[in-house]
Amino acid sequence: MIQRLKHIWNRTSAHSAESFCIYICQLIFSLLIGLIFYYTVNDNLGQSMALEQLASGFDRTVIMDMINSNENVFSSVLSWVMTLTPIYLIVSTWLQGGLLFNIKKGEIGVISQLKNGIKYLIPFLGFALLSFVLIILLAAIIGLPFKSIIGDPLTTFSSEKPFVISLFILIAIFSVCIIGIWGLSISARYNYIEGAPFWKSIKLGLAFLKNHFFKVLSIGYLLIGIHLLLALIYYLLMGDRGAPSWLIVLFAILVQQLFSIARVFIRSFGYIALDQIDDEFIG
Amino acid sequence: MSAQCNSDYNKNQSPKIANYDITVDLDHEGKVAHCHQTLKWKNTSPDTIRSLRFYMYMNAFQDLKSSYLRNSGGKVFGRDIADRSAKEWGHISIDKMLNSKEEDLANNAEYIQPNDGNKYDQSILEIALNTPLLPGETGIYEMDFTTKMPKTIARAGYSQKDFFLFVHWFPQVCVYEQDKHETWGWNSHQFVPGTEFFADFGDYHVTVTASDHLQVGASGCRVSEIKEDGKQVVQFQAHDLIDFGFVVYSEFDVYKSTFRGVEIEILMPPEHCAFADRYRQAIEHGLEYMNKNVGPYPYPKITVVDPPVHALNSGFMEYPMMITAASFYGIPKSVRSVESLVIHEFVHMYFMATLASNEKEEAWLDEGFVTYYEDRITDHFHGEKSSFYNVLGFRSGNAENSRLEYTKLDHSRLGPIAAPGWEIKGPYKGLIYAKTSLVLKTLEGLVGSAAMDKVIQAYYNEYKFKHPKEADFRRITKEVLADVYTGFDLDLFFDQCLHGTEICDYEVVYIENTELNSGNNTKVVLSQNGGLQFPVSVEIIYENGSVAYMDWDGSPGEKVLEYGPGVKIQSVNIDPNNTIALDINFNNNSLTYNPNKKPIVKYAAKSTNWMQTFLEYASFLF
Repeated sequence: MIQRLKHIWNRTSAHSAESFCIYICQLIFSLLIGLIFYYTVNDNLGQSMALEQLASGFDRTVIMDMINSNENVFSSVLSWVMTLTPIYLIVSTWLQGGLLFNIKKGEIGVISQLKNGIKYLIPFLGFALLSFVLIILLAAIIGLPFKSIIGDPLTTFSSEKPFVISLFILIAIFSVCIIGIWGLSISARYNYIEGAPFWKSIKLGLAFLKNHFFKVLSIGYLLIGIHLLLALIYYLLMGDRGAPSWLIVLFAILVQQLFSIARVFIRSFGYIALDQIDDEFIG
Repeated sequence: MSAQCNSDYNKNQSPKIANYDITVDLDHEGKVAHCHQTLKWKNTSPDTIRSLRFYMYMNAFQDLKSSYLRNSGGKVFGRDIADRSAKEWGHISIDKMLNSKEEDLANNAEYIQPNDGNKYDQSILEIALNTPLLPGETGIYEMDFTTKMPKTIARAGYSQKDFFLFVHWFPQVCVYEQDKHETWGWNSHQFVPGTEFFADFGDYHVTVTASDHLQVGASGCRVSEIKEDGKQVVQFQAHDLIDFGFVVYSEFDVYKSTFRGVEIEILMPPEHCAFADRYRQAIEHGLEYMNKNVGPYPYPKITVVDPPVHALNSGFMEYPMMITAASFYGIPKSVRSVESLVIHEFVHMYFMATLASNEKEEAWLDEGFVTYYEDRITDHFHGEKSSFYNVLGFRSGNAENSRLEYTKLDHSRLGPIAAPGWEIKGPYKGLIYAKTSLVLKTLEGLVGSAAMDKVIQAYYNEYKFKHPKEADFRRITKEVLADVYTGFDLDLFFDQCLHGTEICDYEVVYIENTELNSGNNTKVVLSQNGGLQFPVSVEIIYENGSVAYMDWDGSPGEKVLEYGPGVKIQSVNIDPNNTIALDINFNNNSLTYNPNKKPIVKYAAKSTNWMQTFLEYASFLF
């Protein structure tokens, strides 16, 4: 097991350049938001001594007074988020597609990633949208009966305990579905890269999922676990330190970016883990 | 359960005008209580009383035509009530009322609608007395009445099989008092949303007979309990209360403790057991703080009821010696809404139960003062900036939260806070709770905490077990502050804060520095953008680091400060300690040429990171 994980990690490291390429692209999109955020806050608070309160940590009064005195203060930030997100999803499909190609074909490097990613952009967008629709459908299939059985949870149950427990069960079922759809989606892409047509790729993906359901599930939960662990470490490390000095601000930025890079690498790790199973499956 | 309460406490603190001896026979399956009440009512007025008026508030829940439900827009606490079945409604009726001559007065009963003339409203009943009551006389009446409990609505009622909260459940005599023109008469308002308590003090002896599988908790102290043949008879006694409520449920766990001689009884469903200690500590904090800063808690006991989730609408409420809280399985300790609520309701034992102002006409004297002390107590024990919640680096103080309840309102529509409940449309909580709290906090900021405590202590000492009004509080405040502070006009303060709709918004508009040889003066322009006027201190920091302070009367409009040519001012800060809590925007109170940009950079970096995280997760399928 450890050997296998080590092997997956070695392969992930080999694709560092591609992961960094994804990270840089994500950073560029996000920096735009950061800059707009900077100018928005600076326009509203830039000459106020209230900034001293924010320097010593999160201060709800300062933030809310800013929002209350100008309720549209963050509307430009939000509208940019709404605009940039769909664009990023397309770019992401391209870059992740290139990464998947490199993983599957054993190629290394950003040039190959960019060149091959663009070839698969349209079909991979198709896989992504199909997966998205599947998730919505499953959410409805699971959620609606649950809602109709439970009705108003505040009056149905004699205590909230069964409601909270059933909510956890629902989330667990839903997470299984999401991991399954994710595994299907990635496997279908691998099959497409291997030359199978669109629908055949999905069919093969389903077969893969059927044969390796628990392995896919384990990988999915491992990734979720790592993300949760990262979030916890980040919180313990950063908490609410405020901005008492430029050194602390710089430290915060460094930590934030390290965690962002880690998140991108975790995803590559997941792709490679699925590829390992896929190879075993095909083999 | 054994008898409760230390018998040494003072049982004669109030004028004891309306005294009740009630026996209740609860049919928990039929959701009906068959009751007998002996009412002893003392005529303390100079008038001869020819009729008695009763609150029959349970009738507000008998159909949609009552004034309460007509004014609630088809929803109570966010829940639709229009589709209720017949058995889910409630009502109260007096079946018999005998005077000392054994004459049945029930036939003389007539529902009246003194507020809105809604002939379908049966929340006030007037009963003509065959034998008038002379000044100083006490009338004794034997009454049979029936209370059908509704499915929980605005706290009162039943939920599922056997949870009951009995409030507004018995025919309670209205208050015969002098109005502001000093004319005696009945103060008897119909039951409408935003109004609740106004009644005379008295003693209560309540005996509840119910199935023995049920737990019974109440406003008073349990004096005896007998169980036989599947039934239990529980007797409660309470002195100097303005109302009495009790709760019945089969699933309660009971937690008891004593703090500073006061018994604390917590009734909660088993799944909420994790909150028992939090509730107890919140009550202890309330007792400790109020005893020290306002006055001694006047009762021997406090009962805290935590309703099960299906009866959540019975929560969030105060009754004399009994409060109803609300919790939900899994609320973490860092979210202190639980403690905040318990403290809020507990403080009502002072402002409502003891200082029994008319909540219907002057709710701000009740909810507003309570919110002010809720903020003070929670901030004192849990920290000013984190007493409400402190989760994952995001935090808020209780007082901070109350202020935001007010500052987030649409200010152009604000009404005065000193208005009857039925005249307040819209943001009731933001006005009555939050704005009043901020008015008191602003007064505290202006006169200092020690002087403010003296005001409230004097108010409590003079008006406990009475019905204080706005004029009483104003008079006390002026009397106490006459020795302490004479810097501003208190009448102006109260008039504009309680009866006005203006806001307060101080701003440093600009700083214009000049060169020594320019011939122009350095200028600072301040502004009060609202119509309220409070004296404030202005901090001026010069470029050379020296600091000066000046007083400004804070009158509406602009104020220009001029300095000689070449004077270099770095920063100006109006009200640097944020003493004027009513100010709706603290951020524009200051202007500096040397701003601290570090937090902006930090938050920009944070927003970049939030976006990165969002994009990473949003694109997991792309």
